[in-house]
Amino acid sequence: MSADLTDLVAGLDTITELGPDRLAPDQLRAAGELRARIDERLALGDAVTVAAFAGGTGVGKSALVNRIAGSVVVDEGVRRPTTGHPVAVASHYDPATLALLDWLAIPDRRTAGGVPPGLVLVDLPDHDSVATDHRQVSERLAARVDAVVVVVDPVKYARADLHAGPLAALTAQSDTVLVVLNHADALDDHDRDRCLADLEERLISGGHPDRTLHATSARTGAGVDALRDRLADLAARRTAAVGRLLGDATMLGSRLAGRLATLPDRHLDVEVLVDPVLEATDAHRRVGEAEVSYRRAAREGSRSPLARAARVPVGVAAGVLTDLGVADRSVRPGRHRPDPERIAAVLAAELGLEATAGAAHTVLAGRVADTARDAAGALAATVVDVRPAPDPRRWWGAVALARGAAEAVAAAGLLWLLLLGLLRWLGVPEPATPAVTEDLTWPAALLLGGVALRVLLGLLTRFATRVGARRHRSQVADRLRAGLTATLDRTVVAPFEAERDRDRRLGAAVATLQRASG
Amino acid sequence: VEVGSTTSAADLRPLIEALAALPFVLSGPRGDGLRTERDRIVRLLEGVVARTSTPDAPLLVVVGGGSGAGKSTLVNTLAGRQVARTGVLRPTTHVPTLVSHPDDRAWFDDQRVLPGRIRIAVDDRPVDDEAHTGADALRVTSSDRIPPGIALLDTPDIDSVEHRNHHVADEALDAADAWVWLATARTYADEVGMAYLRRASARHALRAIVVTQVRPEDRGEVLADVDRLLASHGVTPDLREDIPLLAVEAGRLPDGNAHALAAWLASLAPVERRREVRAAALAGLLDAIPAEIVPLHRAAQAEADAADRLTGAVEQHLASIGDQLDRELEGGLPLRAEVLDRWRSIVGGGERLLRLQTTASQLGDVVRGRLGRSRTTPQLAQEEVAGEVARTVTRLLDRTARAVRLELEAHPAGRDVLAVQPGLRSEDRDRTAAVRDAVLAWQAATAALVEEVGRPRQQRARRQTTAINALATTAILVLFTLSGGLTGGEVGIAAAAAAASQWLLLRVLGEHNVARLLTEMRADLTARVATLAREEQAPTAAAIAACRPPADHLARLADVARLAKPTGGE
Repeated sequence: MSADLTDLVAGLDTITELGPDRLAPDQLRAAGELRARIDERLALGDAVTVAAFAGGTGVGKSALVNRIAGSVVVDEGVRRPTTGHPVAVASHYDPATLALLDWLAIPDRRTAGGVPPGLVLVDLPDHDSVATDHRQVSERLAARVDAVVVVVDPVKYARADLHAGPLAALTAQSDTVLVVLNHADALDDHDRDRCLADLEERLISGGHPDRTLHATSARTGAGVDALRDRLADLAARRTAAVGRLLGDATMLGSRLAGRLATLPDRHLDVEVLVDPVLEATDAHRRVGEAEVSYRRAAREGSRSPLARAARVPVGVAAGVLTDLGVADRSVRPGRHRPDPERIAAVLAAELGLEATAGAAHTVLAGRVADTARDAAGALAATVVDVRPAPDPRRWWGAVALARGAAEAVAAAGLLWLLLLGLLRWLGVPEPATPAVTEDLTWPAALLLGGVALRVLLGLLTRFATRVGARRHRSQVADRLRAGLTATLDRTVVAPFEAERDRDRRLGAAVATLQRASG
Repeated sequence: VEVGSTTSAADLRPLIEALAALPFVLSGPRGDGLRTERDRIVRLLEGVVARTSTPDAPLLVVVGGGSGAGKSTLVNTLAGRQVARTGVLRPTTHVPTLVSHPDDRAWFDDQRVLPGRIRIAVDDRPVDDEAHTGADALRVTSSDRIPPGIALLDTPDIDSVEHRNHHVADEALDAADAWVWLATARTYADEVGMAYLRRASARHALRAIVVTQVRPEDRGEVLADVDRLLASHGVTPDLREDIPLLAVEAGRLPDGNAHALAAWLASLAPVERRREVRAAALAGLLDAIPAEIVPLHRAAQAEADAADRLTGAVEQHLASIGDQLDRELEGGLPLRAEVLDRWRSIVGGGERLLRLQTTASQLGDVVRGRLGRSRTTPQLAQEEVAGEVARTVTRLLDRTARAVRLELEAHPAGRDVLAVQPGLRSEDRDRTAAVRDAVLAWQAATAALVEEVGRPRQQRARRQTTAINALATTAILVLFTLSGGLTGGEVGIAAAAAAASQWLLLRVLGEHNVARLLTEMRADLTARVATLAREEQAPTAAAIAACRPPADHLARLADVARLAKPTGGE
């Protein structure tokens, strides 16, 4: 197998693998058929070349075959259409030839010594008569043989059913398609040249830049030898079978190239996706909750033992009120459920879906919706996984302790002063009160100092809580962002990159096909 | 419309108008062919009307056939001189040439037959001038070899790669009073030509079939085969002639090779025979029209069905926007931080705001106003909620626009609509102002509703020194819209009662009234959004409607198509 063919087979396999979802079923089927045909034809070897004569009714296909074969082996009637089934003509039939004709399903085989060695001529039925089954047989075989000799005549060379029919199916073929203007003897030299020039122009504009044009007359035999030599040369070179397959691949590739529904070549930037996704998954609320819960936790955690004891009745009362259904301060706005549609909208905008049209738009919108649906759950779980409540901070306990100490000092001072007052009221002689300075006794100092310390601690705590809450908020926000980035990478960017990679591989495979005969 | 052999030509007018108005833009790549066919039948019907009114005009005998069959050569031969170009390049003829007796020239100077074709007198012009005439020309000349009362029309081919030629030939054959069909001894079995002969049979057109380029040695066999083939296709010619393969001199055959045909033509020339032939031709045409209209009617009906399906699908998307909004609101909207704070301070917060508009609170407002902070918390909440709802509505409209676009892109007819109106592909719509207006209007309506519901209550509640701050109440209610509270049902009410302020709200307004408020607010918002969506998608609906074949025209076509005989009923 030549390197070209190896690439081609690999390309066709890629198309079969990645084609579903990206190509229309009939295109996929065409690729599968070509793949099968390559295997089947190559298995039959290149020792024999099959050249089929195709054309409209009455152009002289059978007469040309007879001329080349050197004897009348095929009927040349004047009734139209004459030939109703394909007839194979060869000089002899070895097993390889027979296998090839079995594969082509041509049972009518005739022998004529004039056919060059290694060549099998096939006289096809017409493609344009009232007999529609003729057209089907002709099309089926013209699509499978190694070389096609398209026969026209001065009356029929510009027919629409020829140029839109058999010839249109043979673009991208080079030396495996020969166009023959038969009945050339009906024209004088000048007219024949004009006619050939006109035909050549039509062939070029019809997508046959490498046309090989012959003028023949099956009646007089003019030009037949040149045609026979040409066919003999083709058979001797043994390249027609592969050339035909490569040409068909090129044609299939060109047909597929225009209709690939691939992703726009735009890189998906996670950074751009994160912000809209943060919003779509309601992660902002998580961030807000983080700050509130930090404040609440810090307030609770830094409360002194005394304040804690004092709040017991408040808690009891709140519980009773909640049970009565009178008040519930913990009520929160309803929780948003992440919506795949919103994520799909973000993706569609990022991918530039709007610019696509038709089948590509439909296919891509489907892919975006699938990805978004798969990603939505994971993104929501990522948001839920980030806990907004802070871990208890060590300084809360320290503050609680310090507050307790300050309160204890103030209480001690107060108790001392009260005791002194009681003694004075009872008329009991006062014990000597130690003084810090001359004006300030210790109990008063304890009370004032304790209160001042408690107030100072309160102010400091409030400031520290605010700073801590803000820091916690931004930590939660960072964690959310990081989590969402990772999840987006995993659930959106990676699948799309993989998808784009498959698109690229498919595009490369189609390009390989297109280049096959180039 | 009564089309059939008893039809008078005047009855055809409505049918012509109905046909001409069919756009055929929803059939994708088939549209070109359908429009051409529509134009052909319109021309044919107009031709029938025109020809009915001139029964004594010369017969138009059209010479048709495949490329290279020798049409121009035959016309030259019958005219006795070269009037049309002949040659080896295929196709040779692109512009039809009309030859009549000099006395009949006046009949063809007006637009009675082949209307729209520019008449070019070519009596003294060389035949190679064809390249210089436009494609819509009719070359007119005369010859005294043509019997008076007969006009011969040489036409382009019906089978070459030049598709425009086929349309010209179709036009000529539709205008024909009689057909002369040419095929060579090698091409008589071609399917393209046979399709035309079948059409001629269906129209009961009077026809002569000429087999040209017959080799004398094959003559018997070929002609027998031609007769067999014609019979098997149900084609019964009035005359079947053959012309041997001869050298062409100056574009025509040697004299005497077409005398049978010339005699046949001459037999048609007398005025009674002319009337007879024309009447039969017109009757045959009218008979055949239903069958020729069937494919057009079928295509138009398919287009109408496709357009209706599209309209239905778009309608469904528009109708579902209310449900989508409900689902969004029930699920709760994602809230931005500031809205969340506002929610907490108003809904979760306290009775203070709901409480009466006391002197103190009024004083507070005055003081705030003096300080330049004229907006109260409820007002701020209202504004933020407006923004939030607007964003949701915008998103829903976006989603609907995308769904509608996808619907169009997914269907072939939808792609055709988009091809006609490429502007529909653009999703970049500026709807900010419209959405904002709609949401503000909704809030205003809500406030009015709260006032209306609250007023009788307020009077009764005066003794309790509780009254309703309508602004705050509205703020709470609209905040609910963001958080799954606006469902109106039991769930909504229960959620409302969970918060302290709502408990008060229920106590002040009454549970029944709160439920009513929530239900009406939701319905109001849904209706406004549905209206917005409908306005936004109006161009799409209009584009689909414009592409759809009009129903009354379709009905008229259906009436005619129904008369078609089942195929094969010769």
